[in-house]
Amino acid sequence: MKSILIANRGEIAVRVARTCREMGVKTIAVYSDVDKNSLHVREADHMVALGGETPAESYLDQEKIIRAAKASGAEAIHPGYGFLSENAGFADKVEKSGLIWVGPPASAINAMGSKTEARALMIGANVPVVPGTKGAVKDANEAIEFARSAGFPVLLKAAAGGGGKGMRVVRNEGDLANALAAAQREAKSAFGDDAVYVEKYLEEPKHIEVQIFADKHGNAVYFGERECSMQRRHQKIIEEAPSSAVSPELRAKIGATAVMAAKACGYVNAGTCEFLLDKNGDFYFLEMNTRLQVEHPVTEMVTGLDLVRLQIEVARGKKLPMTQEQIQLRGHAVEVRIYAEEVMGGFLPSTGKLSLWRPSSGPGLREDTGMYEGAEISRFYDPMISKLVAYGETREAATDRMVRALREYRIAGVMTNIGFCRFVLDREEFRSGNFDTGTVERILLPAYREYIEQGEVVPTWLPGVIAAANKVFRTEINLAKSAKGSQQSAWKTAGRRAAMSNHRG
Amino acid sequence: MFDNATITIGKAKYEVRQNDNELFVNGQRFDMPEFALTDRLVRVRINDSIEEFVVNRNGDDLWLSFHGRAFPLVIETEREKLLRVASQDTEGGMSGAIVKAQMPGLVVRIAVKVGDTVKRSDPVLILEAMKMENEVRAPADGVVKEVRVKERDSVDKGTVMLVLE
Repeated sequence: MKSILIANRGEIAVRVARTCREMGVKTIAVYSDVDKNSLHVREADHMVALGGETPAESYLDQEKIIRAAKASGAEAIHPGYGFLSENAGFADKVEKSGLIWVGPPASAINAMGSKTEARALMIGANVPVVPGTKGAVKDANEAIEFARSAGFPVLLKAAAGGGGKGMRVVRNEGDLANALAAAQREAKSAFGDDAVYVEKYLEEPKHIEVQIFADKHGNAVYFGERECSMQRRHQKIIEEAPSSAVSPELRAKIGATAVMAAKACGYVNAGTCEFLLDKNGDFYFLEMNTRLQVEHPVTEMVTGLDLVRLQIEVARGKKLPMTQEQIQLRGHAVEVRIYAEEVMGGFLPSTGKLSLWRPSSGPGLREDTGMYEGAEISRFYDPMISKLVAYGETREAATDRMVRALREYRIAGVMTNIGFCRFVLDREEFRSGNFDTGTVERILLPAYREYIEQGEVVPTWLPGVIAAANKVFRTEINLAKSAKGSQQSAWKTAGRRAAMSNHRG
Repeated sequence: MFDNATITIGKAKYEVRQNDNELFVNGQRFDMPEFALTDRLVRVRINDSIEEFVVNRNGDDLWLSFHGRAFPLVIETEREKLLRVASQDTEGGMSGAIVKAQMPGLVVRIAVKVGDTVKRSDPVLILEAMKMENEVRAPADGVVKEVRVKERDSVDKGTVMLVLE
């Protein structure tokens, strides 16, 4: 395999291209009209335009992508995550058109892609699952019937879903019908499939996931777990490896269960089994993600492996180069997903130009990004700016390092969640490891709101310098009032002048 | 001669007074530090160290980023404060038929004449104060009954300039 078309964009396309470069594999980038100047295009050896602005017109257009692969002479397709990565039909088309699919076989994607089928399969393989309906519910009555027997709260989930879309917690019967309709609409628009099923909702569980890897020769291993409980609305914010809630014994047990799950569906390549871990140390299979995961870097940090390299080797038909016994975890890694969003505005995406962007660097840090200074964060795609990972010998060292990194980070032009993440990392809930999937919404967001209102935590000189800068750069009207475009340029022009003359205010 | 401003970070209010050489924050004195600005990042030399902060705009809101933390920020200069108080007064409704000068100033231009129909918040005249032109707006819908000032008049705070009915 000498060339790979990367059927994705943003940081994951860049990340895959980097490993390909290291392996001497040629890369072909595809891109939408919006992405013509993107980093992922620049990092690739060749580029093929897909046209269009929306994902449907570009990164989700299967025919266009296969044509691009054929035209560019690619031998394989790496799907990254999201978009077509978990589309069994696409994986099948890729293989049938004579290309190598860097991912699991279509049959395994199919088996795990429908959450209801996956549950049935797991029950058959003696993998513990959360109680729920056998399949997608036909109507609200069926959902109500299950909810009555299992007890509220219940969780509505899109059968084809992921990333929190099509998901709803329902706490009483009166809300169920409306929530179901909303979940179905969301599922339909996000995944093209409105199948929604109902599960018992576990209160205050941890979200623990196991990275597994299987080759085409029947070998399968696990690379330890990731702690992904710091999430809001089912969207992960901070991930870690390993989890402070998982003992070596539990790791072995949950890891072996994940490998069992993988073998039950004839899995090959990289996959992730998600589990809910309750306070008694019992765990339940949630779903399997049949692709590389956004947060895979934390596993790479503590195992020293390059999972994309392994993916490519496995796709080439090579055997896994290690046994379970040879896999040792070392140290601790924390990942923060830096998003362009308004934390206090309900985590709404914040679009705009990254007019100033100075990421942190130095010992023990890794940053995976598809951004660059001047990049436009558009409404068309996920507003993730970067995945920042800090490594340390201990959890505390990794966390302290991440706090240092966030302190260094400078961004202007869009709102970000950096302040919120730094706040979370300093909190007792995070430091103690004593948090669950609801901690952000239950405790940390209200606490954060209170925290940012206490402006007196800044040094006394700071408001003074703000007033002085406001005066010198003659932007008092621009800063405080009127429309958006004009005042930014005024501030900028004044800034250039001042910077050049090192103006004394 | 000092410039005054109110800086609000979160809910904490700071009264800032400044001249070319000095800064007072809630009465605490600092030498005016050196600072420079690039894009929205301010770099300042203070207390024998160099610090940086970013002021980001989000719609009508400002956010301060400092040391990896983010706070809502409001900057109000003395002039902006006067304008705000003025508009609160004129928008009061009860005394809505009278347009008073909310600060001492110079009438630069009168945009209406007796008999004109105006809508609430239509600009009716321009008052120069603190070296800035400020639009004075109609406090309510109505017809201009009296114009008591003429262009180039200096007015004191509280002078009745227009009467509407």
